[in-house]
Amino acid sequence: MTALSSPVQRWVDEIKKMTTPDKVVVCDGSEEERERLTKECLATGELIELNQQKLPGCYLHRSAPHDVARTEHLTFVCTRHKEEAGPNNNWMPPSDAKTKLAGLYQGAMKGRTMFVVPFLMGPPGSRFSKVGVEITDSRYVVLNMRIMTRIGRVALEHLGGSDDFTRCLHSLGDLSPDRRFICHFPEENTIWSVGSGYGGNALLGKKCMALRIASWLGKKEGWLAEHMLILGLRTPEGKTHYLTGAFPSACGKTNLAMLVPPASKPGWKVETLGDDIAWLRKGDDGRLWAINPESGFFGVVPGTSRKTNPNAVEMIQKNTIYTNVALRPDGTPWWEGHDDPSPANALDWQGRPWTPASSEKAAHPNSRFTTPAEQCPSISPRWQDPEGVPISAILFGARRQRNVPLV
Amino acid sequence: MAMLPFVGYNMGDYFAHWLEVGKKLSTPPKIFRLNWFRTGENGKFLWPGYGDNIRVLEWVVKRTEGKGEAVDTPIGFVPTRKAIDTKGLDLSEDALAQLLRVDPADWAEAVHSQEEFFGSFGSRLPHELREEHDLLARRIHDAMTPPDLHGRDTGN
Repeated sequence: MTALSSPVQRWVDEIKKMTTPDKVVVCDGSEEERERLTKECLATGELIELNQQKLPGCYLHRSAPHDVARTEHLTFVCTRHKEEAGPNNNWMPPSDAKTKLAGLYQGAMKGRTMFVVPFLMGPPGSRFSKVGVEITDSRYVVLNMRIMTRIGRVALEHLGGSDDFTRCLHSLGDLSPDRRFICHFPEENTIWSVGSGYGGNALLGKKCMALRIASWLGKKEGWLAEHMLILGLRTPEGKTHYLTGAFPSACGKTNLAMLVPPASKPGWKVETLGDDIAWLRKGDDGRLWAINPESGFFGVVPGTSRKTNPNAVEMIQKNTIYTNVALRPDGTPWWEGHDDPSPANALDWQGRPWTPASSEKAAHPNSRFTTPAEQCPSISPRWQDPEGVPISAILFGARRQRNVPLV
Repeated sequence: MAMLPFVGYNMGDYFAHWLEVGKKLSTPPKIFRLNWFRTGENGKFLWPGYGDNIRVLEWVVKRTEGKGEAVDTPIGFVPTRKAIDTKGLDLSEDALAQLLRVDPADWAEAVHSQEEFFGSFGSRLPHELREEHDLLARRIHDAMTPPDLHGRDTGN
């Protein structure tokens, strides 16, 4: 078992006492660990094996039917003073939130294994990277975290003996929306999430830490955590410009980050650095520099095809976790907007028989792929540069039918 | 607002923090507003999107290099019709004109909703944003008012 530093161990002991798991496993991020957890998930039904000839290392996960998206109305920022959270956040006093959630965490891991997942946001060896430790009782969360972040030894080495890590506590609880809360305590560098196994609610390195907590840290330390893609644009003259882009969900951020220019634009190339989050800070040269804190892509599946995003199609052919897509009889996934036509029969995202005549969609509209960034054919050679890349332009996009011009 | 659900503190303070970071940059990035989703009268998207978005990024990059032709409008610089490379694209002159059009009447509504949004942050909103907003509102107002009426409504 990987040794924890005393600040981490103290926190783990505290949570163990509250949640009373049957056992505690500290994750090291190794390949053997991935294989073991995958095997266990196949046994419990948390994962379903996809066709390994066609899609090596790919698995399907089905969420609880009422646990398929982030839940902003159950998401709170718990600062001592309400004005600190602002009108843009739901607020609860920290002590109330702690009391309420402690009640839900009490004994919540009884009969379960508690996984301790040290993770690094940002490139290894970068002075801008940050460490978090997520405690979770979900194997699916661990397997996703190991794609989306750098977990295990690399994170513990970065942390050393320091107390400077984000404490991320997650329990599935009973998955009831009535007992679901995602609470952030920026003043304590802590996140408590209970009652959901879905992406942004449960993979606490992503929106919770790398945006909400990081935005707070950035304000204190003089940098910015932003909901932005990062791309490099190579011109026919061979010069590369780096751009970031802020777009709300469902505006094609992943597609833009992985854009393939048409044949009528020879010499242009887009290189991908990130599709969701950018950490920005001033460089010594007075320019703005960006790193992508994540190491994977958690993308919306429906609509992904060779026409909309050929690079994404390519990268999700192996080592990918599919969540809430439909399953074809040959063990391959399918979704609305897939290159293949509707299958004559399939299982929908809840595992129910589906045919093209069914009134409901086969894949959930918010179904996802989780895939390692390094598998993206357009990944930039500089995506893990510890210093990041200098930014020449920031794009702000939205979905407007009128008034806002193309650019 | 892509960050609205993800700012872990008061967004008024967040805007102020952006200005702070920006002030320290000697070579700040240029800022662009994009919209792939404008529709025509038939309700269909005017712009093909996906790989063809490279044509917009091309103009963006040219602007950062001090090139790329633009016209000054009440909401900022917008490309001239010739400045977007449409070679190899099945896009009519009219569609391109619609894509690049700035309609002050539509913007008057947008200014109003921005007013409400900014208002929700009260005194936490940095005065720089308030001033920018007022200038935008003034430019939109002027663009909607025929030239011979300029100034009359303010009593000058």
